[in-house]
Amino acid sequence: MILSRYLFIGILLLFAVGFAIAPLILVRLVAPARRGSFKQQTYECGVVTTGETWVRFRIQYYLFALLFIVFDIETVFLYPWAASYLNLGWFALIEMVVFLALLAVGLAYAWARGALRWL
Amino acid sequence: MPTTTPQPLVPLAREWLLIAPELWLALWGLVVLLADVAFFRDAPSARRARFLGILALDGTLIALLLALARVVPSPLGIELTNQDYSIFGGTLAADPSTAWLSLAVLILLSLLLVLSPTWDFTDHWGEFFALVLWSTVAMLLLIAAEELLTLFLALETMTLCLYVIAALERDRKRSSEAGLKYFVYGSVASAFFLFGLSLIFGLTGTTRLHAVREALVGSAGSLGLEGNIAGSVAVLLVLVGLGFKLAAVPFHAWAPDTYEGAPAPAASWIATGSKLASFVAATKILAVALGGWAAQTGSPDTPGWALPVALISAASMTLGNLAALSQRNFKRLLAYSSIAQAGYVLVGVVAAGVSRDPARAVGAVLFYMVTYSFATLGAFAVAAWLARDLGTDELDDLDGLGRRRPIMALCLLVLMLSLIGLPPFAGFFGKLALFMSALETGESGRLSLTWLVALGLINSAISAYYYVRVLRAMYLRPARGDVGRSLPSGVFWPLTVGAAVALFFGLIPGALFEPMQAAAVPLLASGEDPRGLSPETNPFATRPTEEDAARARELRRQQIEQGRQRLQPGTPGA
Repeated sequence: MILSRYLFIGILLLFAVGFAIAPLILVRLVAPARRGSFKQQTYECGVVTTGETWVRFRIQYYLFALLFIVFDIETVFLYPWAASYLNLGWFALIEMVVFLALLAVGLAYAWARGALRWL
Repeated sequence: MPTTTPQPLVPLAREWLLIAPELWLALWGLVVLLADVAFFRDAPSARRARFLGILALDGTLIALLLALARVVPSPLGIELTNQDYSIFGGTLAADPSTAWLSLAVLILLSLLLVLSPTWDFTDHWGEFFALVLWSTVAMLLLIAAEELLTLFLALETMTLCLYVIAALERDRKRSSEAGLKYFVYGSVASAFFLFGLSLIFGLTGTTRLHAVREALVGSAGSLGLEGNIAGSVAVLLVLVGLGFKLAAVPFHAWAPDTYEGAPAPAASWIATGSKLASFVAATKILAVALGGWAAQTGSPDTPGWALPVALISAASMTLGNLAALSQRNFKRLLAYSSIAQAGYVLVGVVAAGVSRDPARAVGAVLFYMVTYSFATLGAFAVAAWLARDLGTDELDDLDGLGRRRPIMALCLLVLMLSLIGLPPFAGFFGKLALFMSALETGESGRLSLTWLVALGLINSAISAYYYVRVLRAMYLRPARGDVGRSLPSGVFWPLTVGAAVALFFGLIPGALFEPMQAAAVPLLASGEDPRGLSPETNPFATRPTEEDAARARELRRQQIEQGRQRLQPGTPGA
């Protein structure tokens, strides 16, 4: 009874896992494998690998990443809101304005504290 | 309190007005943060602390006025009666319990905001005050939460803000350590807690506290957890989460390091405001939502959460007090003291679960937590004073304070005696009420939980030793160095108000008992009352909650029936 309600999630799970695994299996079966030392190297966007794996990143990357997430989340909320805007009415408009204002304040704060200056 | 129902405004406007203090404080946090970056970017740290402290205090006083409008009649027309309101689709309570407790939290916050700027421990003042204000918003919402997810969100918002302010003294490694330990323990405990809540939702089909209670208790009365494995796991996981927030043994390990390492104002907010709100939440989850799982009706020793909570309480009292005996650092001493105090309060929580008069037990819990919070905030003010003037906050640094600052030392004396639980101070009546409520839990007045109360009394005697060590340092030791050279007003206010609260409610305990009792009744209000939840008056109530509750009741009834049949295999017809 309860299980049937979760059936679709189960199907989705199977499909998602299968979608990831199937190409790997297909490649194993179909593609010819000729290994070589050059081919076994770590793939780094096509350029020659330099340095160790354990390099330190500047803390500023994280600040930019955080700010990026702010806008990412904004988009995630704005799309469904815009799609059903006509059915939602005034209350949703006010809520979205409040949400955007909060994000704007966050951006203004980060900007004023110098998070956007690359040192 | 007026007995007439206030004129209903448009329901929606009324709901927004009822959470006006929370909304205002959240907004004010932004104002403080932006004021910091806009006007004080290049100002010296001490000056920023002073100005931003006053700014934050102004906002808090306005929030206090808005919160006051919930208990006294005002033109806003939002004063609360004993009638049981729930707002925003039954996710938040708006009743005397939220009204009175939010007043207590906001007064504590004002004292904290007076205290904080006296000591220049960080240069992130905008962030500090904003986070303190936001954590308070979360505390107020936590006190009002009537639904498991709202409660969890409020709890997480609160602790997230506290993790950061614990680590804000960036010059000292101990502060980062405090924040990190608090964060690591806290996030793991939250995961356990959330898993427990999800099991509760799975077993009852609802997240509303009163609907959960209805689903668990049903018509058969309280059955405890006999044979209910999923329920036991849920209770265990919830206890891990709550135990961390309350710093109860065995989930206390973070507390001493965090209290000692964090700057005193941050530590004081973790020890007072957060603990007060967490205890309200714990009482609501255990005594209200999981009331049916406390124990079998009338017998506290049967399987249920009452017994493990009683054991946690006993362990917290004993270990907290014994460990406090050998502490040399004042804040660490306060940390172990607060672990022990959490143990005493848990006695009241157990009583609320198994007593036939749970409102009395909950009233005692609230009374104790309010008086404890004021006393502890005052004691932390002294720690901040020491750290500011001497750079350390060891117990020895208090030497000779009695001669140098007789009035301040007298206030600290009152606080320590109140924490021991000596009459005529508020701590005595708090402990009395807690232990009395635990003694009267049995069927037809039969004594039960006697062992727990006896242990509590023994522990009170043990605790006297280390509280008196503070007094000995102040009065019997010669003054060393510069202790208490200057008296900042920021230390004066929390200390004197704390002592005044301990003395006033010790002399006239009824003045606080009555509001707290009045608050306890609606906090526990029975599951039959749907808390004024109707789709006609409430635009947020879109889900058919009655159906959910009925389905959950039916499910639980079947579970109970199965459990009974398992219990009595030989019964004919089973």
